[in-house]
Amino acid sequence: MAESHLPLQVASIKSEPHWRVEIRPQRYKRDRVPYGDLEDVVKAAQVRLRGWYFPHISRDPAHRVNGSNYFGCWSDSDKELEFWQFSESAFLFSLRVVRETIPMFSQQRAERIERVRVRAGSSLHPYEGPINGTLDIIAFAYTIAECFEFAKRLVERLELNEPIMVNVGLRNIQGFVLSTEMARSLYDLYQAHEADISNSWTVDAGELRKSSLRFSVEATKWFFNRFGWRNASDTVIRGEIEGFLRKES
Amino acid sequence: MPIPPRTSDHAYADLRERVETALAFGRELPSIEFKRGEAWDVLKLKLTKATLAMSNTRDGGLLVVGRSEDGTEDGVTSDVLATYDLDVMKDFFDSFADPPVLVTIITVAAGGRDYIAMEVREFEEEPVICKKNGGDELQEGAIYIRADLGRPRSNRITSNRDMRALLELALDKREARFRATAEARGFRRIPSDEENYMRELDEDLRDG
Repeated sequence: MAESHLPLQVASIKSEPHWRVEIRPQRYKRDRVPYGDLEDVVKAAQVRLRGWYFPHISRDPAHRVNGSNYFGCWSDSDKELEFWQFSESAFLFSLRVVRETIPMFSQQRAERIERVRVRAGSSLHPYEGPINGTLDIIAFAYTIAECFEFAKRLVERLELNEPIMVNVGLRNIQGFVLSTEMARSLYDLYQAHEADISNSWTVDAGELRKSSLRFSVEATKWFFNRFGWRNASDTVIRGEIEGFLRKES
Repeated sequence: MPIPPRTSDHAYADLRERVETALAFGRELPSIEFKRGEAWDVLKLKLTKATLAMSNTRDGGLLVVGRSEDGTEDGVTSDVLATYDLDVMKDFFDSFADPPVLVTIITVAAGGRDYIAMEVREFEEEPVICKKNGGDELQEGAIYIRADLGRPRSNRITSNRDMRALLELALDKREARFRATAEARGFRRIPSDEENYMRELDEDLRDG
């Protein structure tokens, strides 16, 4: 526990804009999942809606971490930089670099920032600081949806009947703005003024078992609000996430 | 004991440094108050009020006699210094303070001038209440604090916000004392669910 088995990549992730996610039963119980079942439980709850699963289980033995009470993996590819661990208490902890900041996407990133800057032009609010990066709103909603969908599947796999805590945070994202896919930008500038934005949702297991959709929409809106996007459409967000959740391979 | 000690004792090195820093910074803060170099009888009620206020402020504060608020007058003369008596000062403060204030008083030489410095510690267990009237400055039953909005000054508490902040400070201390006592007697606090989960993480992961 105290002794560090952490890969060096953890320090890299923490120095970059990143997602920090915690998913766990509200009540702590040290031995909910036998050590030998940890990987199977993660596999069963894993969300496979995009090319990169959440969480990603590496086949490379060098990327797998066997802690004293958890199993975890890290990845350091040209597209993803992440670390996660899942412990016997059924606690998933995940750190993942915001994809839009990874070097491979630097050209797209620069184009997006420029597009936002041009769009905002002289209408930039005096309070706004420099635009340090962009966050695609669709990818944003998908990331949130993956968290709640993982929580749902964990409830099902472990037959949990108690509330689940889903804690999602964005770190080091001061100055980042919300954006859309390559060809367009949002009309207004929605910018993070603080470096860290995070919130914790306590979710009823029964409600979650029915669907993760409502919680994903609520949490996505919560974040968009913190970027100053007050009137993001429930219907549009719901539609995007619904479509995303139907993609299960 | 006459005149606050002009000590070179190592034990007061931090306080001397704090005074020098405050003089160099030159501006009053909620935790720093300057008084021009006037005799004890002239300042004693004002100093008592400031001492009571700093006692009720988180982390206490520092009073420096010998610097006018506008910075135009510096130091205390030897005649003025001679009017300050350490025991008289402490007794006078405590004649108004319930419970007694925790204050360290020394004379500091800086830039060729003398200053009288009073370092006030925040209260230990209970907020300090003024127990008797004193001229226009002090009122029996009043609780003074250092205002953290606008110009720094010592004020009587009049707002629910300030009273709540003071009560929270007192409750924090009470809780800490209770916990220390319980732990000394062998009781162990049951960690919260949140704490248990966080203990599972490497320290480098706990802060994000």
